[in-house]
Amino acid sequence: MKNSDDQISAWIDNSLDEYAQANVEARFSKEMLEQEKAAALRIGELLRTHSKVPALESPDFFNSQIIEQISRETPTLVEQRASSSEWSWWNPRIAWATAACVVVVGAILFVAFPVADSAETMVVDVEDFTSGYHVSSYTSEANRYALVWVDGWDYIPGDTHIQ
Amino acid sequence: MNLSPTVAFLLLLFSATCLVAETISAGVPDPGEEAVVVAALILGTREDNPPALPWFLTEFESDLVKIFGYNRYDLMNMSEKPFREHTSEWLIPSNDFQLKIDAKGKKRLSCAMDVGLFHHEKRVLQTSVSLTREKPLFIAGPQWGRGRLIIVLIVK
Repeated sequence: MKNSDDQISAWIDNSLDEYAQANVEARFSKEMLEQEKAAALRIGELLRTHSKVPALESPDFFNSQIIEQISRETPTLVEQRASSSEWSWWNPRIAWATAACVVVVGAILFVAFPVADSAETMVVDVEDFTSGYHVSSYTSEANRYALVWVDGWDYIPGDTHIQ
Repeated sequence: MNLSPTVAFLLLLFSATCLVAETISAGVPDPGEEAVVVAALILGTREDNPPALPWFLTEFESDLVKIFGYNRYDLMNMSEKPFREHTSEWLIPSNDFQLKIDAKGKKRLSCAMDVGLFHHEKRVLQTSVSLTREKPLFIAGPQWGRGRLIIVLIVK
């Protein structure tokens, strides 16, 4: 249901049906309704008389400024596509996560294969103690194995049992 | 459950990193893992249809052929001891050949030691070596019949 002000405004505008109009006229005195109507007409007349919009002196300049501002703030087609989805190879989170993974793998490789710990099989030093023997050493390429060659052994016949 | 492409990619990247780390670390011996020094006496001969080499020599078959010229290598006996730093151990792959191992130091991938080779209780040679796991030291022994005795020292 409309409140009293709405009913009075509708009565002034003469937009009520007969029943509602009679209802308003029964609730409010005729004098008061006429005063409200006179006040409303006076305000409308004042607004029509004094509320003129000032003329724009350079409408083309302002139009061009507005259009430029709109074009700056409106994303391009590429930007719209990029922003329409969260996925991008240059997403900062992707870049940081990739960098972190590279660091982790690098650290594991460094720990697993320390530079200082040479993984080599090699003969550091060799000497023969017994006269009649000659000893020489050799280390293979890539340190896959080492060899110490001893010359001067007595031949062992094939029927000799090796314990 | 719906995952955004970014979250899915991050999960995939993390999984791949874990997989790479696991693969790398699985191939490297644990520093705390005990090293074992093995001395083996093998006999190299020539034969038309040689049997397979002992397991610890299969990787070095072509090297053995090149060094000693034989195509058959039989394991005669072997002896093994744990590698403990700054201790001395005897490895006796046969009664005729004995090895005295003076363990010096152990790194993640290699063991340093002094090795003395004795034949009939007479020291034939003394050497300092650094042995990487599964990469052996071959010592050429005497000729025996139509072949040669070879002492293999390897760290497991």
